[in-house]
Amino acid sequence: MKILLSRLATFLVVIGTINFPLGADPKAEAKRMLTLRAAAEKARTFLQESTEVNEKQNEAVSTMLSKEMLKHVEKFRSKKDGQGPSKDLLADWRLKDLEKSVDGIWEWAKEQSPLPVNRVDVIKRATKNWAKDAQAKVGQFAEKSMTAVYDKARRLAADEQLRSLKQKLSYPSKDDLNKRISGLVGGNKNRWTPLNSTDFEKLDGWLKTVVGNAGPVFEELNQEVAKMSSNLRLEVGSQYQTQYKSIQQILEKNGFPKELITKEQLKAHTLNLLRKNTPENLAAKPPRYGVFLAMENLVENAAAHWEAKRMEIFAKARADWLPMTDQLEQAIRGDLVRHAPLKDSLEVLTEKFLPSANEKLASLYGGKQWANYFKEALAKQEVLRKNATGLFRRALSERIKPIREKIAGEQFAAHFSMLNDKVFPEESIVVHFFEKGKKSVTDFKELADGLNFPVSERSSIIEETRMLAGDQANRALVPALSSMHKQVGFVRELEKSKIDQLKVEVEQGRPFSEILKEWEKEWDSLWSGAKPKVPERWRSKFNHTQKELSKTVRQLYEGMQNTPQSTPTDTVAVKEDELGEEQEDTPNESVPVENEQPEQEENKEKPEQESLQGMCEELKLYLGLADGVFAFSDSPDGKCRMLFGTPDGVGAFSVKFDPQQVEAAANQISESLKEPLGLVLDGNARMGVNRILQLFKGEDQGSEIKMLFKVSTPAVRHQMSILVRQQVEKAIEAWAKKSGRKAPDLIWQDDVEL
Amino acid sequence: MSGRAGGSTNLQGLDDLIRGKKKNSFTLSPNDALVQIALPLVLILAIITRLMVIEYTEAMRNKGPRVLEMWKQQLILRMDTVMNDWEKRAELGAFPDFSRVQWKGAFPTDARFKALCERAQEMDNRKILEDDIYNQALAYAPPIEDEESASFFVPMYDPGAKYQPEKADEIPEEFVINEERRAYAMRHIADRVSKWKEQVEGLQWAAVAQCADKMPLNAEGESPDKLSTQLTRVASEMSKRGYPLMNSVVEEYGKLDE
Repeated sequence: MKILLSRLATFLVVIGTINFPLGADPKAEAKRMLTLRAAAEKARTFLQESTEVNEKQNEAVSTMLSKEMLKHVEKFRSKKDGQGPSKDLLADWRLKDLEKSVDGIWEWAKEQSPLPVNRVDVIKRATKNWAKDAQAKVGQFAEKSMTAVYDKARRLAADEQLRSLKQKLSYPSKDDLNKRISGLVGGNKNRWTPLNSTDFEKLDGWLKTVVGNAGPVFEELNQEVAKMSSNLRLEVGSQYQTQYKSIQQILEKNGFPKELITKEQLKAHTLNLLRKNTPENLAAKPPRYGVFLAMENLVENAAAHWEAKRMEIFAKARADWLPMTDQLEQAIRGDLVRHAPLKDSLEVLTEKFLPSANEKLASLYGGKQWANYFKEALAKQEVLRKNATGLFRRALSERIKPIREKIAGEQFAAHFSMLNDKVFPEESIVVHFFEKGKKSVTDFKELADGLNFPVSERSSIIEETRMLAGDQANRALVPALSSMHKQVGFVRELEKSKIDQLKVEVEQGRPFSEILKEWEKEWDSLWSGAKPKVPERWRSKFNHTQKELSKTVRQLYEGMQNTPQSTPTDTVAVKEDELGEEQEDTPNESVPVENEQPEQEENKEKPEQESLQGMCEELKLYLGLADGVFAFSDSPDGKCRMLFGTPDGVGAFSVKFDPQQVEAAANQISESLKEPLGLVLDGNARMGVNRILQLFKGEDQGSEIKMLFKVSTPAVRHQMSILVRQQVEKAIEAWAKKSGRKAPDLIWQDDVEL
Repeated sequence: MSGRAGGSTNLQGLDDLIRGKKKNSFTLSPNDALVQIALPLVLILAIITRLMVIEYTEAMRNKGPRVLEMWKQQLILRMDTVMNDWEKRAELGAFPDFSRVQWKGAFPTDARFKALCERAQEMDNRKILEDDIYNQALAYAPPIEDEESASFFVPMYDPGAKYQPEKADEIPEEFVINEERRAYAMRHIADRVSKWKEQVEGLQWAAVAQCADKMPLNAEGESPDKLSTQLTRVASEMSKRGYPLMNSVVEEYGKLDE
């Protein structure tokens, strides 16, 4: 039917055409022409006008552009990169706008003209080359309109994207978030202090990926997106803090009900409160996550803490779970040897009484219901056990203090009452400590040795008694030793100052007694100057000082009387590299130790090693006696040999010399001594702290070096000792200057067999 | 083969009849019916109708008496003489169609068309033109040298006309124009003026079309949102060049001063 009607209409048109031929009406044709003309002018005007976006178009164009930007964010992400595509879009928009306008004009023209009007005719009349002109115009339009439109469009697009991002913002799931927050707690799984806001900053990286799932964003939004992730972090942190604050008083101020004592009870109570105050709504934006797993763990850890702490508070307030004083005294007195050191005593007593004390504490604290629980907990739970043990030890320490003081008083009275005597210390005791180079008693063994206290009884003397005895001994010994050091020191000064004069006097044949008297006089003179600074009891001259003075003068006197005319000295030394010094591989010119054949170069190394080993073995004899040893002995060729080194072998060397040439020998020894002595001093300085046992902390000990001058040959006289000592003193000063260390006090022990 | 096929069709028809199925006896499709029957019929009807209209028009034209009355003959003679003269002076006869108008560029260059346009302006006020023709017709006196023609003209008198002959009372009653006769005369003039006007308008519209087609577009910035503006502009350009257009053309979209 439809087809039939259309055919009919076609024929009616044909009939009409037959009766009223088209184009025959000049008026109609004129009107068509006028219409074409008007339309063309309109189109041309539209093409020519507005080469840039006007205020009216601005809104529409900006909106269009922003929508395109949102469709292809990747292309427009950067403001700079988005300009090219934006210009294309503006040109395209303008071209479409032009086409639309032309369509409108054409429609208008069709209405105006009685005859048909072709769109092509309108365009042709408007401009010669519509396509080219239109393209040029839209390009111009795009270029000029960018400033007015681009920024606005970006702003619109960015605002829209931000709004969309906020709407679509996907929040992390509860499980994911729980994992992340629990991860912030780190390795300390027993932690019960809350996370702070800084801790949550570690989530920023992850939260950015959660927010950034929306895809590419305009560069203007980079900060906003970052802000969104930080806002998310703040939100999460805030929820966490809110949760903590709802139970903060309980956790931090022990705000649990009194009747709750086990950690499960404490945990359940806190979690109930926490869950009540923390409603969960995962559908909300942002979601309310409910109680975080990390918070539950925190509560659990806090419950464990407070279980132990509350028990500790209870234990501190009570004493009925601790062993009785008489039990403790009985235990100590029963085995004084084991209880001698306080630390050991505490260990022994803890071992003995702790299990029963814990059991009692568990019963008292847990009552019938929880006694077994706490008994088991005290045995197995680390925190609880440590707390209880610590508490027990502290309480025990306080309890045994008077007991031990009482025992110490008894032992002191029984064994060391002589220390309270006015005659203590006798000079022999002072000399004993002086010869050991002591300025005070630093060790109970030393004291016991000095007092000849029986070794068998020493082990039962408890620590407090030893301290008491040491303090008491030092009270008198320190000034006495100080005085003796000063007195002997003046003897040494005289040695130095008067040796040259002594040589002359010996040559002149002055009698020994006269010389000694003069020395005594001079000593008296020196001492009278120093005496006022010494406590009155120790102002008189020690017998030991008199003996030292007499011995020194006699040895020097006799030594000088027997000195023959000089003969060339025969020096023997050991290679330095064997003495611990690094040496370049240059041929060693030093002479090996005794009995070695210099011409046997092939076997040179072996004997040297053997001799060094031999020296070390020899030096070991002096282990514990001194820091450095000068050991003199006879040599088969009529000369003497000096062996130097520490008892553990450091800096060991030997030198051969003619004992008759005392000064030449002393110089030779001095030259050979420079580097080995440095090694000894360095080693001594390194070990200085460890070497000084400050058992009795009453006196400040300075560093010191003890040298033993051991002479086993009649050829070496006391003069040699004095000369060598002077050389050693000079070497020590030089070493101190070079190393920047404080020079140690030289304690010189002569062991000259006369 | 075709026989077998035809037989099969017949059998199918019988079968359809037995089963009570509707048989489509009209084998042409609607399209075929339209093209082969209806359209030729409609075409024939249209031609017949046209022929009848032409016949009727011709019949009506020949309906009047074959011999006209004297006053009518005299009046028509006079009016046609005057109007022929007007046509001649207006060069109307030179332009049976627009193709006769000489043209160069966007505008005509034709003195006769120029004369026609100038003369045609008289038609802007038809009443005056028609009265003028009527009075001229009453007053018409053939040239003295044309004795032959002079014998055909008899003085006529219209008491109501502007032209009054010297010896009106001597004119026979048969040649005195009364209201009825004047109305007849005026109709006759109007018919011819109408034809003139129609012809001139046709020519002028064609000229407008050609000018509008050829004239350059206006300068940028103007907004020709009315066709009347375009027409006025064309008319103005033509008028400047000596081709004034009739008011009926120029005021096609409304009076100029409106």
